[in-house]
Amino acid sequence: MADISLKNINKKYPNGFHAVKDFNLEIQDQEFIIFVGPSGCGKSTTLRMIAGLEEITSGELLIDGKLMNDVEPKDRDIAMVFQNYALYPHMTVYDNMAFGLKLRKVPKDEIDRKVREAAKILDLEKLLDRKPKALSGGQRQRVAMGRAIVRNPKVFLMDEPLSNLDAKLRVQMRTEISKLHDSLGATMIYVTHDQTEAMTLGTRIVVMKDGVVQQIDTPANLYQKPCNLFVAGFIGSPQMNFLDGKLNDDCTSIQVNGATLQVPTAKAKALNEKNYGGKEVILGIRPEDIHDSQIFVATQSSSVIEAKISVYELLGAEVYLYFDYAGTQVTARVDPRTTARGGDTVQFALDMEKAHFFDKETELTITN
Amino acid sequence: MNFEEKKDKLLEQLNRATGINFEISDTGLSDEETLNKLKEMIIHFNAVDSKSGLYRLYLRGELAYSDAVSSLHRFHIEENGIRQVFYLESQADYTKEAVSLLKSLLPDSKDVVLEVDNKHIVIIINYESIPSKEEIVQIANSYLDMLEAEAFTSFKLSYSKSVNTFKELPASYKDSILAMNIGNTFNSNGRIYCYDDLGLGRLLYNIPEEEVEAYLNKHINIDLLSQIDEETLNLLDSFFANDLSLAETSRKMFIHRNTLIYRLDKFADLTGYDVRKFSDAITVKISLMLYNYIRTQK
Repeated sequence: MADISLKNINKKYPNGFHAVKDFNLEIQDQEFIIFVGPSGCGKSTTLRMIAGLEEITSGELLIDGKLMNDVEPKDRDIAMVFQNYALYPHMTVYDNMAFGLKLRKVPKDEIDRKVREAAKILDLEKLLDRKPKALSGGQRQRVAMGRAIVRNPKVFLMDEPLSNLDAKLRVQMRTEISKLHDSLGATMIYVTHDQTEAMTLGTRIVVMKDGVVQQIDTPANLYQKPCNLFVAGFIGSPQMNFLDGKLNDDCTSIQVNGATLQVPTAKAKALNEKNYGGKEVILGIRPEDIHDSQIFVATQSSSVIEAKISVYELLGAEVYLYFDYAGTQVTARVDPRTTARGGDTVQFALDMEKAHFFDKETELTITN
Repeated sequence: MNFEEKKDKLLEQLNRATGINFEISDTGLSDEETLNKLKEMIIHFNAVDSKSGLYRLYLRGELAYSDAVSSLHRFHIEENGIRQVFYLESQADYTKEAVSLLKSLLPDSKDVVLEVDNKHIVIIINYESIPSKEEIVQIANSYLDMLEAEAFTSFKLSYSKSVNTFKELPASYKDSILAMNIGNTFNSNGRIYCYDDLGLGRLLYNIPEEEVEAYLNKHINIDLLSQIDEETLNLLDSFFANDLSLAETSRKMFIHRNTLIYRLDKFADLTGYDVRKFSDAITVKISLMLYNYIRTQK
């Protein structure tokens, strides 16, 4: 398998559009890297540059130490799986998986060995003689994966491979891709706009926006220590709540919509050291860090706000309470046993130990 | 090459196409007319010699409907039937694998995969009933993804309305080419272009360059447009796509509503146009499209 190195990669189109800006990343052998971000952020373009489907405007792409910028896609030893796969309708599963190798004039016995190996990994052995129309959606997707596996590539590139599947099948295939990564021990790069897919599959995640890498980190670190307002808002569902506030002179408290919330000592110290005393900042708090239980409100009396619930949503294992506060819609994720309902005025305690503070101008994290 | 050499070469081609040795007697035609007549004959015989040749010449308008229709029966082509033309354009010269792959995806002998030149392929697919837009886009996406994944070649695709008769095919082909050209001009990052979705682009494409520059100079001049950073351009695109909704745009772009307002204010300060107002939004939208057009032309 392979190490991949992307050094100062840029993609600029002839019309001047700068799609990817100074992208730097070292991918270790067998890593499962996710590129995530909203549409138009440059994640697919970056993947396509690695594949060789898009020319690299500047910078260096190395696979196993070899410069790949001018190497033809077919000679890069990669395999791709895309969102819209099609199976050859008149061919059996076996032939569908073998077709790419036949085009490349691979010897027949080698094709046979590779197809049977891939079929075994994907649990398709009993279906090799079937035609695509006799397969379920999940089986078809596995055949599409099989076409990539038979190439025995150094790197697997996947661009939103599950986007066209229904929710149930997507969860099932997510697990299968994860298992596949473990069994093949392959280096995988996976593009998605779905942060749940990113969080569950990746060993590391690259968050992108407007062609710029925002943060590269493990799923847990991205969630707990986002580097800026964008990452904080993008990772996590429902997304983090953001409230405008003003710190007091020694940063020990913050005024939000008339309420004074106490800032924990360590965070206050960090804010003070960075000269945020008396300044306006953005307070970030995740929905699960807003509590409505009486005990929590009583013990966290220095961080309590009061609001009228606009919407109550029961999801089974949890309840989402929506309310307007300081001109912003806020979401609290609370215990399903809550007695709060739509229209009620409720006291909420914010777990300020878990609060995040962002600079209002740069939108960078001040403290996590 | 003089007339005699050209004539001999064309006679040789005609011999290859028909298996008949022709000679030219005194026809009363000029040299140029003689050569043109020979070329016409080669085209005609080549056309009727293969199904793909017939389609190729007919779509390009090099073979009249009346000539083409006489060969339909020979190649088992039905005159009536619902067909969809797809026009594919590759970034670099495509490989034989790309053509083999498309032919394998379309095993039905009624369907056609036609190599136009090194960068363009036409596909004509037969349907039982008129395909919906969703069906067309889905099949187009799957072809493009397959070509990239299996043949390592990146294509764009354009299409127009499906047609009901053989007679309508050249018009659909022409519209598809136009859709590709306009799409490449106004939305060069696009992948699939539909003739019916070209909207303003179809109108603006025909405006002379000097008119475009005059419009931009009157509203937002090129120098000013070139100063706008891509982040703002992306935001404006998204703002227009989301029907000028601040809430929807900030949600889709994962940015704080206040950040969006700040950036739109900044744009208004720079250009004098506040895109939250409908009339200003139209001017900015057209200016940005024309600016793209100018950049593509240059």
